[in-house]
Amino acid sequence: MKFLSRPEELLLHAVWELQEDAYCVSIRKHVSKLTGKTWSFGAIYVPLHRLEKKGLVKSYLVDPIPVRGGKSRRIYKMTPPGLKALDEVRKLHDSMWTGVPEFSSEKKASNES
Amino acid sequence: MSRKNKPAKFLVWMLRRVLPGYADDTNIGDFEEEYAQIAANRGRPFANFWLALNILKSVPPFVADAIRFKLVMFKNYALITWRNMRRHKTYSFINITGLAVGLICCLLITLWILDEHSYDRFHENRDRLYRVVVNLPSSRGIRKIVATPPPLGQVLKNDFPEIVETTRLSYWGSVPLRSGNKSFNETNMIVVEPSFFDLFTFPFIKGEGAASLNTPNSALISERRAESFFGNEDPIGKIIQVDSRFEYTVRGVFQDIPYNTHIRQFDFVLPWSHLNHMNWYEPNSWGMNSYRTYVLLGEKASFFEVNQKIKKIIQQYSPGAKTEILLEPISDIHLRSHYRLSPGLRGIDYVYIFSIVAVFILLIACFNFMNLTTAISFNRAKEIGMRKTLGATRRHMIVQFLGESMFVTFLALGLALVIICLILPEFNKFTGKQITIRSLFNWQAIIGLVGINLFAACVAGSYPALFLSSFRPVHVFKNVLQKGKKKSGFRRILVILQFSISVILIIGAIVVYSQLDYVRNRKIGWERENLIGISLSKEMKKSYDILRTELLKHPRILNVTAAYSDPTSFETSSSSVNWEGKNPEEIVHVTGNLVDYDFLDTLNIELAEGRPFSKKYSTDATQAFLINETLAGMMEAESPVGAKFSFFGREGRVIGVMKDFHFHSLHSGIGPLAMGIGSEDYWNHVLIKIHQDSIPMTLTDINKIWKNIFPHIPFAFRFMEEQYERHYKPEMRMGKLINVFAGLAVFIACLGLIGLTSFAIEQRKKEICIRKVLGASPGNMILILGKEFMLWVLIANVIAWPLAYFVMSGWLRNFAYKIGMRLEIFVFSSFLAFAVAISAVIFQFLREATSNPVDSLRYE
Repeated sequence: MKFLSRPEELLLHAVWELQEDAYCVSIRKHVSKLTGKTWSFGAIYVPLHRLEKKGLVKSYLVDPIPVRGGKSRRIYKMTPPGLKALDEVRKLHDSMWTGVPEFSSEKKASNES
Repeated sequence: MSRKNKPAKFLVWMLRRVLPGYADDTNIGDFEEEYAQIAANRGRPFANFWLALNILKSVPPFVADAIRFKLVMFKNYALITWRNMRRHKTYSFINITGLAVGLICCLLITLWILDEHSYDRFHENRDRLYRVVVNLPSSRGIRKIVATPPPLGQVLKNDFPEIVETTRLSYWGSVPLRSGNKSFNETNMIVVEPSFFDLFTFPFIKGEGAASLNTPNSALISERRAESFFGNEDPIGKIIQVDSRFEYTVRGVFQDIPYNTHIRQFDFVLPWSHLNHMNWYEPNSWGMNSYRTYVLLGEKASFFEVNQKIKKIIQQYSPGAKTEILLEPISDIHLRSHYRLSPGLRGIDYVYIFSIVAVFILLIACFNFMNLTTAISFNRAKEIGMRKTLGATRRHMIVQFLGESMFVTFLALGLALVIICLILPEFNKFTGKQITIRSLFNWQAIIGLVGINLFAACVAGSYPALFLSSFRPVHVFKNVLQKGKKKSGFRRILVILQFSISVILIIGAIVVYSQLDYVRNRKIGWERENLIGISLSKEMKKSYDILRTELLKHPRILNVTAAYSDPTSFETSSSSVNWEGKNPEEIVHVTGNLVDYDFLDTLNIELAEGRPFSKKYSTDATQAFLINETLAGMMEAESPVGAKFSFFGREGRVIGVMKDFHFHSLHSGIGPLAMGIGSEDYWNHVLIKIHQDSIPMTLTDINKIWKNIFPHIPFAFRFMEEQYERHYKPEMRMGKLINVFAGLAVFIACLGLIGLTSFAIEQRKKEICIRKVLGASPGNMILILGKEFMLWVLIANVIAWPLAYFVMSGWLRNFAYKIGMRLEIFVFSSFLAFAVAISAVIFQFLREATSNPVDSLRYE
């Protein structure tokens, strides 16, 4: 499998989670909330564009709405390869953690204090 | 949606600038949506601020993305460039070598020219500093000299408010110095006024500096001389005995004089009052043209006005004189002055010649590069077609080709710079300069370098970039394109130009070389071989007779004589000359020399008429003159022998006529000359003719004899042959340099021709193979292949001959005695060019001839 970069992974995940509502503004909000830091638009567009070029997501335009100054939204949608890639990422995470001794950073920190 | 919740127009415009490739409406919409939300919650100003901030924040990812994409393309371009270079190893080698050699020549010449222009630029007063030059009218035109009478400096300063300060300078030949038990023959001594160091910038390191010259008996010394004389001891306060008579105290040490000044190197400075010890010095004489005078103009003075005003000043103070004086800017002296001893080419002429040579060489190198690049690029038509099919625009192709040629030129530049660093010491030895690579480290030079490179890259890359990028992919793949045929006319012109330039340079090099050879070997009318010259100072003159007697006892010393002027340049001349039947209106400047009786024998000067000086006639000592044929011709008498003649303030008769001999360099012709017998006071030069065998032994013996007579004065001698050649040193150097550069130019042109022939042969591989299969002989084939190239070289010769003739006869005009522009030179140069071209063809062909035709033909 080809590895995704961490931003790509996050974005792919966001697109899947947001489903029909996955467009740049909501993706940005979602990712920012998830990671706890504000993502710039550029940091969204560039990897998202790359994902699209790789064929992991596809996009289509929906009807314009007035709040956007009469401009349409670009909704992103997973493609089968995208889903497969996301699945692989999850499997990788799972298999990475099975059999690893349990630990919790919070517990460790509280022990120390 | 209210109007007021729209973002500022300016920010939207900026957004569109910032998001290249992403700035479609949906993306703008994203921003607008969030903007509207924020504006509703926290007001427009905050929202605008937020938007601006976010636009800025988006920049880095976009930039990174753009660079990433460019890098991907660049990587591909670089890979293709590399593969192409490896595939065409020979061509790449020729390209890079040719360009590098061209750049090396060009850079060396640039360094040399920069250095030539650096002369006298380091003086702080350089813009206001002038040298006084003198025009002496005579019947044979105006003599231009730089020696001025002693009172001139003071008069100029007093009479003209524009002239702020003046200074006088007097050069001294060899003067014996002594300090403690060390003695040294100082050849670099000058006598100056204290203002000398105010006008010129020669900094002091130790001691009191220029002001000390006001006190008599104080001397200044250079750093290096102080070191060689006193070693590590402090030179200040040391006493130096000058000319065995005068004692001077060292009061200051100045930095060694840089080589790039017109002022002769000096290491020892005495105050002007030193001249008062000399009984021949007449401080108020207007007729004694012996000293350099320099003036400093005021800040606001106009050079042209002052020049007009001072023109006739000498005539005012010295009635009857026709002398005019002028000012010459200090920074013009090295390159542009007409006031020099040898009237050959000026420095600036050489600068022009070499600039032209540099441009020529660079052109040849660029032509090569262009030719080969265009030739090979036809093989890449398929690559271009493929790229275009895959979506490359014409702009991409132009960027690619220009980038490629830029890569090659900068590779060559790097190579050239490395090689220059390595060969610069040799080049310095060759040119007698002290150039460092550091003079290239200023922004003008760097801009120039990069400019030359970009120019070469653009010229070479433009053709494939512009022409090939216009190919239509369909034509390329259907093989409609006629490989190489279409534009070979252009290449033909370049090759012809290249060869024309090469032939011109070869002819030039041969003419320069043979002219200099001619000058060196020309019979000059006296024998300079195995002749030794020694300069005598005032004190030593008295002992001349003893020296001569002692020397003549030696078996290998053939003759000893003495003279006032050195035989390589008789510098004294006068117009106060008269003879029986001379037209009193006519002004004739006659060069004069006072010599000892054996002068003619020692130098082997032949007589045309009359008798030489002889001790048998008591009148010879003061009343006899020998004149040369030129002067005899001017006298218009049937036989000048016996005619009354007055010169040097002597009255006498002509006793003989010498055959014309050269007493100056061959730049100038032979002027009228008269010689008389001198006495002890005049013996500035002793000339010793020695046997040609075991010269070093003889020299050691002379040194022994010398030490017996002058125990404290070092023995300093010179070979007259070397002295004679010194007149031609600039030309010799230039001649050698031209030869080298012409050779390199031909080399580059050859490289190009080899490249082109091999390309042409490769293109016609199949034709050659088929001919071979059908039984063509190698000779036949070479003829077929070489025919075209020979025609090119022929045309190049036709262009080159008249141009070379024109240029070189112009150069030869600078010599009074010169070789003719013989046909052999032209024929030989052309023969050389043909030989080179033919051998290139044969060399390439032989490689092809040994290959098996099957390999080339099997493909289809």
